Amino acid sequence: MRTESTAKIVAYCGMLTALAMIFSYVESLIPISFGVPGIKLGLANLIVLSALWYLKPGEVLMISTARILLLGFLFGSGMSILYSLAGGLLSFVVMVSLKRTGGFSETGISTAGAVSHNIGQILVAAAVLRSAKLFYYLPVLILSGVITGILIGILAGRVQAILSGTAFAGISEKQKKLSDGNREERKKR
Amino acid sequence: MRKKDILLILILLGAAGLLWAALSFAPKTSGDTLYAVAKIDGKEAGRWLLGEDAEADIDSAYGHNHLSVRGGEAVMTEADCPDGYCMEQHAIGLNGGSIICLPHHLVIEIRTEDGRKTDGGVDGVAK
Repeated sequence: MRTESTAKIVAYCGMLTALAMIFSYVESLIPISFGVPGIKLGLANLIVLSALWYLKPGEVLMISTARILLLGFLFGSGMSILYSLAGGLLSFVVMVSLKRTGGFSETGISTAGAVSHNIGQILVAAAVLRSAKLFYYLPVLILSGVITGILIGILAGRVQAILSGTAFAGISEKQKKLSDGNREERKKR
Repeated sequence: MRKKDILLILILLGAAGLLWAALSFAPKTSGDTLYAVAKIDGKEAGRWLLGEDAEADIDSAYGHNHLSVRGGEAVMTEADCPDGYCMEQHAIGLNGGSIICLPHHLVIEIRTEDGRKTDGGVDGVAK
């Protein structure tokens, strides 16, 4: 089924994917290193996190995966795609589940997402290097995940406050109606 | 931020703290058992567990060496070769490395039980 709304949502997904890629790039320009690989702000997660409020989980997953694959092919290597994908998918699953429970705000969901992203990457790195010693990084990476997660969560809250009342906030409502409509259509058949 | 958020963050911080405590008390060698392996002409002439202190004479047709394993490190303490360079070489331990005595065709290396070399596992590079 093609309606104006589906086209709009595809456009939003594309725009958000591009924005997430830009954020990743901007983040790579920040020259601060903490000595432990894997510590980063995770600006791109701001997009994925915020999108959870406006788009369906499947669409958010597309944005996240597309960003990782595109960035990986553009600037990374095969291995970096693997690491990012593991982190991205795990944090996506965790964030969607936490959002479903309804008890957490952006900050909590963002924090859990950041920490699970780091855990996902460590798991893959440990599997690739066949070394359990990488888990020594885990406490540090959990701590950094908590800090960056809180920061991104606060940012996401600000973004939501600004977006409410704009056309963008409307898409979640429209989409709901649309999917309800789809369901009714299916029932008729 | 809601109460649940704060609870979640506290749980995560607690988990990080517990992990850190558990890992800092765990033995530093986690996993691999390491040996100091002596090889003469490439053939194994003896091995000593790094975890246990040991004194060992390594004699061959080329000459005599004495290896000491103390506190997780192996060091050559005696050699009857003319230059004695092997005694000046650094002690080798968890981070791998080797002591080489050229006149006696002798090499001491740190190996795991199944013969792999070790770099201490700290500096794996993943790119």
